[in-house]
Amino acid sequence: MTIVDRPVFVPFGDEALFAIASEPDTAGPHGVVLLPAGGHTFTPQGNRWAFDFAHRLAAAGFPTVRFDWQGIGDSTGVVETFTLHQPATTEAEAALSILDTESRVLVGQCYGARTAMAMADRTEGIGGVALLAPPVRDFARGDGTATRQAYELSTRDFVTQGLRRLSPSTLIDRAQLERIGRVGRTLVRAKWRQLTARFRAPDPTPWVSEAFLSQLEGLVRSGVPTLLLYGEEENDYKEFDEARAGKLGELLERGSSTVTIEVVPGSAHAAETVEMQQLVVSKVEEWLVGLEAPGAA
Amino acid sequence: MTKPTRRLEVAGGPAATRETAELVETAGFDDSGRLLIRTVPRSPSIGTVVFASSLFAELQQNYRREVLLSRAAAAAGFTAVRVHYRGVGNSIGPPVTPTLDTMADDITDVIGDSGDGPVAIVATRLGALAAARVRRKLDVPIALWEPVLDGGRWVEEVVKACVAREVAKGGGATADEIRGRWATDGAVFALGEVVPAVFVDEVADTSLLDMMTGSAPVLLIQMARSDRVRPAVERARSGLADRGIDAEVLSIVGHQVWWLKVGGDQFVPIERQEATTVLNQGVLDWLKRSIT
Repeated sequence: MTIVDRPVFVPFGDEALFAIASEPDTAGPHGVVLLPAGGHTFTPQGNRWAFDFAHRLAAAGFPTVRFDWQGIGDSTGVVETFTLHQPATTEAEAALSILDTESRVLVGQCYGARTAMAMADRTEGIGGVALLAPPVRDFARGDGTATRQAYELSTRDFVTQGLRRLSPSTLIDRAQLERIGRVGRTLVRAKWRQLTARFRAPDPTPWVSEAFLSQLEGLVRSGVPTLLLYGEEENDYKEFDEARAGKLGELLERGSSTVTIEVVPGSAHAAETVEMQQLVVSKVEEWLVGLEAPGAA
Repeated sequence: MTKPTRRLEVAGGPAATRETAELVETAGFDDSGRLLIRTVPRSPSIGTVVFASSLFAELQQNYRREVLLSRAAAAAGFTAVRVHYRGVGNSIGPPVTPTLDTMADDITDVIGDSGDGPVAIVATRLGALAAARVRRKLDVPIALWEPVLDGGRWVEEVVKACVAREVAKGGGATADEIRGRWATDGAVFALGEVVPAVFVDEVADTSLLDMMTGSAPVLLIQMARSDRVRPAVERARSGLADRGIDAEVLSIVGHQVWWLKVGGDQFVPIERQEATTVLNQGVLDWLKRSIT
């Protein structure tokens, strides 16, 4: 098996995303795009995870593209932030355009997973979506704990805790004020939902992202094969598991014929050891191999 | 079950090019499988700058800074070349465990292929040790961003990071146990990646000052919360001066970890950080003075 690595500068408006397409000499009908997590790490990823990921999938007959978000690695442009409910769908679509396979499969990690979910509904020819540790809540980078506490703590405890961390310099720091505004909006939303819960159908998981649920519902409705993969030690899995008590559980039941849930030991989100990285790749590869060819159903 | 990685043959496809009004950037693989990203000015090139990156998490942390500096260099008239060492980054080819020698050979090869014009190296962290090794053969100016000055101290920091990670995970390995794992396992997970013992053993006995030969100028760059030059950096500068090397210090107020809490508690893109502007301008000014 020979694989050809082809570097590409993918046009994206006035910018260019750096990508590498790993192309096997014999390709099947499904091509894969690896959507990275939101962060500073660039295409090879730690321990060359994305490098190995792409080559293993290519060796199994799946042409695979890995790329950098704008403002990361060799891509041009500037990244403002990574916010789970503002996925970079147009960037991912640009990367997707490199693949000329009949079916395109999105494999995303964390922010990349949420981007894949947001794309699947609006993009033609998506043959499957593999979601590695997708958070079920919405938050901006760095706001994860604070936004969880908005639901968990009473308003008084939450505000008291926030005031303790406040310093005079915070009040003249625009970025800090913006963050307070963001977290504050989550608090208001959380308390409003808790207050009005008696007038609606009971929802034991009001903190679960509406976007996450509606996008997953779209995947279930359209029958797009979906893999949800979590590590049992990570917070994302604990929240996913808790969320199954609410609407998510009903959705997963409805989608049981197309949604596969895999839980592996350790943390799929961090996937920091080589063993963990290889395990995640193996699980994704197994799932990909089981996908039907387009039009076979 | 984890499947072992299959042995694959990966070949390099055609290079990719993007063009702007100021520069042309090409990414492609050379005959040894190294990924080279060459950024060339539209105007006639006044010299070539080759980047000597670090490894492991330090590569991930600093690569974007190198990308921005190489594009700024091209806009200022230099040809800039970023090289992914063999066995590192997006380079293809047979598996290679990087050592200071393989890194130095990669940089030397790239310089050899860059033509006749004047050349300088911009090195980051561990890349500084490889760049110093290059000077045994090629006496070129080098700018060193937060260089590893003392390999032994770098290893100590890695061991400390391992111990801290063990504690955070609820374990409790001592420094001696971590060193023992290097001896028995041949590698330890540190700095976000697997760090091979062979590399650690090699780096542990190195000193940037002892390795530095030649007489071409050196720029030592530090980035810290204060612009006060750290004693270790000042010692390195005076040590280089004692060897007859024209050494300067560029002290920049900024955060080495560019994606965390730069603006209070908020992410500020590296492109808009004052430290980036100061770094790029400072290095380019020095290159224009030093490259001949």
